[in-house]
Amino acid sequence: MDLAKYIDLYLNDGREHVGALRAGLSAKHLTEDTVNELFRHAHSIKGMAASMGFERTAALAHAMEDLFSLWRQGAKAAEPAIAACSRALDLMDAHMDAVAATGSEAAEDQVARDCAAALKREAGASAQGQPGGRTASAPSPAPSSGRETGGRGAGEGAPSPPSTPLATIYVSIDPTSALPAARLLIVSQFLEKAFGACAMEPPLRDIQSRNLKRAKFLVPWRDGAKGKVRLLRDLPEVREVVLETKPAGASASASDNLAAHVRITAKELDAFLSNAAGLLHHLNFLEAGLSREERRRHRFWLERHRAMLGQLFGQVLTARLVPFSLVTERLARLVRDLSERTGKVLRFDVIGADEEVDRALLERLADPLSHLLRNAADHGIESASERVAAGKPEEGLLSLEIRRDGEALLISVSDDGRGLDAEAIGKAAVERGLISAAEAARLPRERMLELITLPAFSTRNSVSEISGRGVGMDVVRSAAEALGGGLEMDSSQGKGTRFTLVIPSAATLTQVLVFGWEGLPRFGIPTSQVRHIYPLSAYPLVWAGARRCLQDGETLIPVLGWRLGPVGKEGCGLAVAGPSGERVILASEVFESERVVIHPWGSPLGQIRHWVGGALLSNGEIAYVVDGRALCRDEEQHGGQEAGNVPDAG
Amino acid sequence: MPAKVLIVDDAMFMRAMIRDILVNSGRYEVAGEAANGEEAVAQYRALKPDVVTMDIVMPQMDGIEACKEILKFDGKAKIVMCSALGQEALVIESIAAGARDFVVKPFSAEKVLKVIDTVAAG
Repeated sequence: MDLAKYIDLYLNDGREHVGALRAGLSAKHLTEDTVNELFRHAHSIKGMAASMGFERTAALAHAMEDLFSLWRQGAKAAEPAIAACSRALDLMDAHMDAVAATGSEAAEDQVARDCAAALKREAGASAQGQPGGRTASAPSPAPSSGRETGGRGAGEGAPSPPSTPLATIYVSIDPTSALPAARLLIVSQFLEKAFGACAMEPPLRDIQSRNLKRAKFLVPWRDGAKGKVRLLRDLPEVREVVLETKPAGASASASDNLAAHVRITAKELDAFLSNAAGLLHHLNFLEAGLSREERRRHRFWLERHRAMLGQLFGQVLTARLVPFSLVTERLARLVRDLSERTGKVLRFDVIGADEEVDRALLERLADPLSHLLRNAADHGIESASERVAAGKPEEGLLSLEIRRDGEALLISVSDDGRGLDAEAIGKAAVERGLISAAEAARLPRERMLELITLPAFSTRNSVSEISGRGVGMDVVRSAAEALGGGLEMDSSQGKGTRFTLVIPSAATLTQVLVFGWEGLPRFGIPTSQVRHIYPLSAYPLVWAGARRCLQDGETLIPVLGWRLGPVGKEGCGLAVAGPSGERVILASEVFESERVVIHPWGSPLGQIRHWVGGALLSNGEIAYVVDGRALCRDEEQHGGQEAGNVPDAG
Repeated sequence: MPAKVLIVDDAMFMRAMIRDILVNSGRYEVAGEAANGEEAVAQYRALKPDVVTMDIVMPQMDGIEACKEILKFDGKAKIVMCSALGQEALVIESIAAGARDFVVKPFSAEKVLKVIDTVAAG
């Protein structure tokens, strides 16, 4: 079995457990509940680490689990025991960092051996009901050094035996270094050779993706090690080395642990991002208020400021990116459960799990994707006997594919099941009075399929028997639309169905083309949706029957009715890709394109499908961002050609 | 005595350039040259150079494979990878496989010598 793909999940969960243990151990009073929780967390880490083959982490967790088990039975949680746990947690962190960077645990060294021994000894001491383990030479602070006495300063709760303290070394490399991550890896290997062990932070992967030029290294500190650090300064491209050693015995201070990993909610990150964007806007305003002379005089600092703000913005953005695989693991579990529940043999293929997406987006995709998979397993895939009769393999195939198309993210869920029956869907829609029989006869096949995403259609249970789809397709569609995207489907009867969620922007930052009508607020449209900009001075508008079209040589592109102001010869036509071909938006002004943060509208505006949200432009103005694709689709469905619009000027 | 270097690169131009940098320093002599990974492994066995400069992308056997092969034969081999910009993942893979350091094209004599001096001394 390939365990590598579980590493992210292991680290994610593992770090959560380590964090919970740390929080639990630092509680003022260890209640029975807390101890039970501690036991559970240690137990979880043990199981996970062992199944990944990370024996050292598993051994530490096991030792801790033994200790907690004694606490559960009423043994006193003595200070030295808690200190030993705290050190074990640091080692687990270091192991996890090493796993993140290299795929395997950090080397076993004296620190680790000491720690494991200390845990064992404390377990022994706890078993005898004594706060044991303290060396004879250590000062004896209080009659009882139990948890309730509080106060766990360095020295007082000195762990025993005196273990190797850790030193922190900050290394910055030459900012012109071409491959900074590789350079920091060399530094890490140098330190590992010199000190026997070394944990690098942040992990290599992050250094690489964020193009960092600085890292923090934790090494066990020994006498005479200063000389080794001096050698570090002579390595190629090493710019700055800062050494921090701690007094012996205080190797694992709480503040150090905090520095290593800080948990932050997506909402807080959002606030950082929007503040960073806000600062950029303020800078624009400040700069605009300066005279030319002043601007020249302060140019250096203005540029530095802008560059740093830009950097800050980028850092916050990348901090939000996570690989898609975080959610695919969960979906794979879901498919296993579905297979069990339905009794169908299911295979689940994932393509493109490495694609990185915004964490908030990922969270909002998890539900619709589960929904699609559940439907596919329940209704799409036939029973084994039906499949064999149809000449298909017994095993049903569900696949999830994630790919990027410019700014857009396309996520497909497909099955090789019975497919959708367009005719039956049409019949059902007529029965329900959603469309007339005449309309049904005219409706193209793909539009017929779309009917199942209408709420009035898909809430009927009988649909699943007719169309092979269950309830809730409208929910999936609205989830995609809430993200500014849409749901596309493709099905061939007897062969299978594919649903594709099209998300116009995969990250928080979207490139939009800014346009508008004179005297009105500005509008934006994702540039990925704009195929062409036609100056109306060179391309005539013509009537083709009842449809107004823009003429490009032999091609006639229908004009969208959506237009909020007059457009004359000096205006432009924006050709937008719609679900059934290009459509043109007529605008009187077209400005530059800009990368912006789109803030989704709340309700009720958020319910209008083609409104994606608002964005702050770099000149401080607000732009209303529209989804061109949804705009085209809405007009096609409602056939609203040029109704209620402003007449053209001239 | 100057240290012996084996230069591995499929482009004759790059080999010539590295050779000039090394020889002009007065600290190194070129023990041999190879144009692909297989040749590099054979030359290493024959010449036992002090340092190898190894291009990554080469026909037949690439630099990472060659690096692994050489280290199998001599765990103490000092290999410096020669990479182009943007090959960070390949360089990291090489380092994980045991390469000692790397230089990035386009080469500056100063940087190449700094890296090779460090590796030769270490």
